[in-house]
Amino acid sequence: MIRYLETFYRHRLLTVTPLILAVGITVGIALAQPRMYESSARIWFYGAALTGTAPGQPYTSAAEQQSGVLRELLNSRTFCTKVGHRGPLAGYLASGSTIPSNVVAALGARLGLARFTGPSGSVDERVYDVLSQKIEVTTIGPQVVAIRFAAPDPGVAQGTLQALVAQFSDEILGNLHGQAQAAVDFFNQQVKTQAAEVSADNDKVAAYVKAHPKAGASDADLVSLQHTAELASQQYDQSLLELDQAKSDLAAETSAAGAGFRAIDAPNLPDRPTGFLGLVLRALAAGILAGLFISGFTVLALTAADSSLRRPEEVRGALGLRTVGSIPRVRQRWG
Amino acid sequence: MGVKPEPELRIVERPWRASLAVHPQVVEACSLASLQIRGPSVKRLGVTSAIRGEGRSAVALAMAVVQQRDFANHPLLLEMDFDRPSLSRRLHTEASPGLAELIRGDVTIEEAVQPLSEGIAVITAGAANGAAARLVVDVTGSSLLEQLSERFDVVIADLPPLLGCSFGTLAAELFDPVVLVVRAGITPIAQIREAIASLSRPPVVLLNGTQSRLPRWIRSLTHT
Repeated sequence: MIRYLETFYRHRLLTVTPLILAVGITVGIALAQPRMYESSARIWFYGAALTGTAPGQPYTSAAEQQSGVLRELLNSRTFCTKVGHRGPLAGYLASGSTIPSNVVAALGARLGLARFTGPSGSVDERVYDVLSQKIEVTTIGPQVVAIRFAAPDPGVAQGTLQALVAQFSDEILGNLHGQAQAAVDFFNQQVKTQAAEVSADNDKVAAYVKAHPKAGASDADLVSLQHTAELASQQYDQSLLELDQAKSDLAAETSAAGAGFRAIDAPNLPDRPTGFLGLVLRALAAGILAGLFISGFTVLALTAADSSLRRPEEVRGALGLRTVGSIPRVRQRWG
Repeated sequence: MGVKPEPELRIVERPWRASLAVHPQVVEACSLASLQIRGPSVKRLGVTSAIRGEGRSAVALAMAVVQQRDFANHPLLLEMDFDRPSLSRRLHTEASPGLAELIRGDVTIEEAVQPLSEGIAVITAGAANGAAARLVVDVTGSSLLEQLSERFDVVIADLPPLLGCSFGTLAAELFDPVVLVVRAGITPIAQIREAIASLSRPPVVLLNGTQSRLPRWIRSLTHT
C-alpha cells in the first residue's frame, strides 16, 4: 500500500490528470446538452374502458390497466403518427429540428455531426421513434397516471402531450362507440321481430274470436291464444326498454366523458428547462468514477513498471555494490 | 587577448561561496560519504551517474565543500561534462577559459583555474567546440591530471554520465574512487547495471533523493 502511495505522490500530475480530464469531459458533455422542457399531465381513470382484469392477476387497478394500454398504443406506428400529426411534433421534426434520444445523439447534434443532425428516415418514422422512446407513462395511484414528454421547445412538449391525451381519448371512444352501436343494432332487430310476433299473435286471437263468437273465458283454446299474445307483448316491451338503454349508452359514449377518464392536470406549458442540474451532477459522478478508475490503473501500472531503487539497503541486493550514503530529497534543481 | 587579471584579483571579483550553490543537506550527506571513500587522503575523486539529471554536479560541488570544510584540504573542482556544462552558471564564474582550452594549450593552469572564496578552485569545462571526446582522449594521454594533483590536495571531477555520452566511461576511468550517483525512485535498475558494467572498477553508490514523498501525516500513520 505504501508503495502505491509513494507512486501516487511521485507522479501526482500524471495520476491526477486522468481524473481531471474525465470530470472535465463528462461535465462538458453534460453542459453541451440542449435544454429540455418537460410537459406533464395527470389523468384520472374512473372506469375500465378498454380492458378487463388480466388473467392470472387477482386485482389490477384502473390506472395500471390503462397505463398498460397507453404504452401498447405508443408502440404502434399508427397511433404515434396520429399523435405526431395531431400535435406540433410532426411539423417540428419536418422543419429539420431534432429531439435527441440520448446523450451521445445530443452531443453529436450540438457538435453539428451530420449523422445526428440530418433527417433520418421519414417524418412519420422519426415521430414514432421520438414518441415510443421519449413519452414516460407512470402509475402514481390506483386511478391516476402521469404522462411526461420533454422537448427542446416548450410548445412542442405541451402540444404533443395534448395531442396524445386527445388521441388516446379518441381511440377509447371509437372502441366503445363500436360496441354500443352493435348493441343498438341488435336490439333494433329484436324489437322488429317482437313487433311482428305480437301482431301475428293478436291476429290469431282476433281470427279465433271471429270464428267462435260464443267462445268465452272458459274456452281453453282462446285462453291459450290470449296468453301467448300477452307474453309476446311483454317481450316486445322488454326489447323496447333494452333498445332505449343501448341508444342511451351510444349517446353517452360519443361524448368525451364516455372515455372513462379525464385529465385532472392538463398538459402544462413548461417555463424553464428541467433535469439540467441532475444531468450535470450525474455527469460529475460518472466523471469522478471513471477518473478514479483510470488514475488507479495508472498508479498500479506505474508501480508495477517501477524498477528503481528507493532505499540504500536495496542497493547491495540489486547491484552488489557498496553504498556510501544517501541524500534526502531537497527542493533544489541539481545539475 | 589583452592583459589577464591576476588570480588574487579574481578572488575579489568573484567572492561566490561554493557552499551557497549546494543545499546544506547535500553537503552533510556527502560529509558522511567522504569518510567512507578515504576521507582526507583521496586524491582523484570522480562523480558520475548512469543518466543525466541525477545530481552529479551538486554532489561533486558538495564533495569539494566537504574536503575544504571538514579536512582543510585545497580542492579543485574539475568539470568534464563538455556536452552540458553547468558549473559556471551555478558558481557564477566564467564559462571559459576552462578545461577544453587548457587541454588544447590555449591557456595555462593558472589561467584556467578560477578560485572561489572558500579556498575551493574550479576549472569549468570551457568551449569544447564539438570535440569533447577528443579532448578526453587527450587528457588520458597527457600528464595534466598529475600536474593538477600536484597543485591541489584533491581533484574532484564532475564527470559526464556513463550512458548516452560517448566519453563518459573513458573520463570515469581516469578517477579512483568513482562515486555513482543514483536518483532514488527514478533511475531504472537496468540502466544502472548497464552503466556499472561499462566501468573496469566497481564504483561506490550514493543514493540521491531517498526521502519518501509521502506527506508527514501518512508516514506517521505507517510508523504506528
